[in-house]
Amino acid sequence: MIDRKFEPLVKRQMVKYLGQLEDDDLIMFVVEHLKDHKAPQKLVEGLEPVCPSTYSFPCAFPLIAPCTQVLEEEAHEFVNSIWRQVIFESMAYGEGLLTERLMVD
Amino acid sequence: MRRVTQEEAADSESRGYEDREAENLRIESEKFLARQMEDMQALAEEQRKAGMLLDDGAPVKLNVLLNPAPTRAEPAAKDTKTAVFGQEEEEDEGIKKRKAPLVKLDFGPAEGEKAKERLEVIKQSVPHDKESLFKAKVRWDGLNDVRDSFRIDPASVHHLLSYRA
Repeated sequence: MIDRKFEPLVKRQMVKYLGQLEDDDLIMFVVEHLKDHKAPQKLVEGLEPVCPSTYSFPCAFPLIAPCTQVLEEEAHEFVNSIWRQVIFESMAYGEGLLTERLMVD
Repeated sequence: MRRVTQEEAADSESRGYEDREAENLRIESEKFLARQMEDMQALAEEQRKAGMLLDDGAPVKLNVLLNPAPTRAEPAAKDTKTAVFGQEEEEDEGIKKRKAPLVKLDFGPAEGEKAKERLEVIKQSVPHDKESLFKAKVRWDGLNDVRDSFRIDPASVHHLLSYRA
């Protein structure tokens, strides 16, 4: 489900909240975070240091172009949107319901 | 004096007539009830043999109640009521049994609709604020599917590909 449903969602939300970037590394970072069952707060913290010059994560040029942070608010909004889907899937699963392609937002 | 005697005689005759009438009525009523019970039992038996119990007997049962039974016939009537009541319960069971498959037929689409409605309710109940959202219980077992549980470690893939060359 994570690959099928969450990866496209991560891509969409990344464009929406973090600008026009479709960085595979960043997408993989979020997807792997979900697959490793890590806490949402860790995802917010992990998203914050993004290199502005390349939009890659982790920063490819930490010495040349020092990493800044993705605006904290945007990182929170991004993780919130992903986590709303996580909780929706969890609640539906708890009641034995199949969500199929249904998205929370 | 003569008039009193005449009156007493008339009274006595009248009481005798009343008693006879009441007795006749009681006998008639008992006979009727007995016949009705027999008929109803026969009908119930017939229906049971045919594999169905219909509530066709119900209107007949009402006749018992409407019948102006004399006071003395009351115990018999009560007995009948009890017997009829028991039968009514049986009939109710029969009705329920017949209704069960109909409910089952509607079950599929209804369940689908119900699930959709329930999912909508769940959607609305997913918290928006960070605090509650991050505290909500995650069912990771519900998020992993078969493909995820058979995920191949990238190092192994690289190892396998190196054999291909």
